[in-house]
Amino acid sequence: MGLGTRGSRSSSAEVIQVHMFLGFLVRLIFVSYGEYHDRTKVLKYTDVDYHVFTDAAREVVEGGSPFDRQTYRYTPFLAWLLIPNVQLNFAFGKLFFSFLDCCASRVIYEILILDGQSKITSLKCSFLWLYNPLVIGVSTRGSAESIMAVLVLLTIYMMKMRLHILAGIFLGASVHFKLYSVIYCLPLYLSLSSVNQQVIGWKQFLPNYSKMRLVCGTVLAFVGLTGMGYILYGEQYIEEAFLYHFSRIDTRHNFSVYFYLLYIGADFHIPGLSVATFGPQLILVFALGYKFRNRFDVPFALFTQTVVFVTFNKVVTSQYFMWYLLLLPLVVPRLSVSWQKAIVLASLWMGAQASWLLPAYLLEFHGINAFVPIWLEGIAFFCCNVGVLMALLSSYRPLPPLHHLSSRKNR
Amino acid sequence: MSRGVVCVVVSVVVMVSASSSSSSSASSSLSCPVVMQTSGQVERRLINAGFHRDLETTVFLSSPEDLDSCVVLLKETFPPGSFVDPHQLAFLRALGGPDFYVPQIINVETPEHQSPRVIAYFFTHVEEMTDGRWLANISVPIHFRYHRAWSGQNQPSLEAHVHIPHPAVLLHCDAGVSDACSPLVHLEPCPPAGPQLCQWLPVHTFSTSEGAVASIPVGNTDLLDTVLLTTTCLTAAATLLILAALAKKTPPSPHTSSSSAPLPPLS
Repeated sequence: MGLGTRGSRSSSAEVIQVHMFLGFLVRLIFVSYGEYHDRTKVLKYTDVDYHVFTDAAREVVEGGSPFDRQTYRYTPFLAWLLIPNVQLNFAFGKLFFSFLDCCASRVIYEILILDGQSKITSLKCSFLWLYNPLVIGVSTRGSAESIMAVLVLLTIYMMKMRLHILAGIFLGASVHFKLYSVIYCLPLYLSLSSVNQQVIGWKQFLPNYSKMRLVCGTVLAFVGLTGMGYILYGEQYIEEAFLYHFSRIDTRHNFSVYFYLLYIGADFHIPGLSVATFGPQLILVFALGYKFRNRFDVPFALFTQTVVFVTFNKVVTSQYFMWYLLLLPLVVPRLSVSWQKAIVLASLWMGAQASWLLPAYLLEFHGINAFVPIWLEGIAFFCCNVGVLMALLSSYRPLPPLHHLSSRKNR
Repeated sequence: MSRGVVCVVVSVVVMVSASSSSSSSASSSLSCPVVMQTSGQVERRLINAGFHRDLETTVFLSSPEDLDSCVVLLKETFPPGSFVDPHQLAFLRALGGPDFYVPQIINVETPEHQSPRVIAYFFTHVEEMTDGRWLANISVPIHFRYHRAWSGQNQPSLEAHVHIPHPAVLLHCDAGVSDACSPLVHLEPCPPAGPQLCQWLPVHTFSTSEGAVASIPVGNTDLLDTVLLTTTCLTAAATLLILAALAKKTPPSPHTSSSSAPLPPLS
């Protein structure tokens, strides 16, 4: 390894840094536009959740609990993080989320380099997050999904680096921030099965040194953060941030295939409905987490688990798509999909979303009774998601890339 | 006999004092022109359509008094199918929107049949018009809740009507309340944002309409069987399809030894 290699390694690091700066600049422009748009237009650019976060931060500044703010159902530490929204500028949080977006793209880049991908491939894949218009829109509107992106990606990065306690800490923090990430525990745990433990059978569930480090880190972070929240804010925190998600009564329209059933069936007792709505999601999350438990397949396991979790969930909003989009760049190099097929799949997915958004817009902002079209579009979007998942499953190459040894020379 | 005289005298005194008090209240009403001679024409309309609209209220006040230093209170009672969002109103107030006071906690997610009425107070000033009347005009964002789905066979329109009644209009002037007007005072929240109570005088209002009415679409429970069957069959089929694809997928590669795993790059 000579000076040439060192030089090319530092230049690749500079390239990603330049792009991180550009990505932040793009987001800054959108944040500025959003501030202007909200003052002049009826349909606001800023997400309603951002106002909820800011109001909760104001409650904290005034010495109260963030959960005094109605519909604040997140970790209390998010309100703490956004105190500058109240004391400095309303747009602070959006800029912070934009900064985290750029950090997430850097972590994607580093994970792919560790995975044995070339720097060009790693760079291009990180662009899938950095320059993704959906991601830019979500962060600049004030949604906090970029925090989750950084936590989950750092979990995977630490796993790749064999720093299992740190991986557990980031995993525990992820679960504390958003409960859904608890589904990642299964593949991450099983991926640490040693060579001595059999690939199939119950023995792979037996603990070993690495697994215990992961579990300890996870439990420490989750119990520590959640415990601190409970000590500070009591049962109100547990009810709003955790229990609410298991007893949601909000049946307003959303992307979920179950939306219309839950709305018109709200006053009827339908036996077995809970099983019908939770069962498929639970079965598929376990099946995918178990199937791709190999250490090299962990990003794909997490990706597919998240896709089925979101697709089969009782409530689906556009922010949920970020949960699997943050993992897509990690699996793209392993997919044997042609450019044309990738564009067709992406267009189908976006087209299905747009076709749902039309009747939803007509219902919400024009008062047109579009419930049946929304239901049908929900079905279409569900089928599209399942179809895209099937295509990705069939095109995924489970073996590690063979060129990783030669590509290391080029870094 | 003296007892009889006392009774008569007491009765006369009672009758005289009763008639004098009624005449004094009548005279006090007459001498409280703010209440007796002020009237307000209330007109309101809903702008936009759907679940999120603007409620514009215009009050034309006719009064012999100078209302320049007065604050107008519009006391709203929104039915359960609608609500205003105090957080949104606070945001708008910072951008020049009306002062307001909403004493209750609003749950923006509950459907209509699980929600209470909402009492809201809006404060505004008046402007003198060229015809001598005084104009008060405010516009507030109003939201409508989901209503219970019902059977399309029984009620084919599949639209619920939310009727927003006219507000009560009251005045609070810098000059205060004269003794003549004090029996007519209502105690309501002080401007600009309550919650302390102040003395307000009611304004007699009339309107050319019954109030604003919003039509809100509702779901059709007649479709429940179809929707239930379709949704459960679809999700079950999708689950089986994905499980079948997983079963067909080549078995995962066996665990490799740590020596052949990609090493972290050397810095």
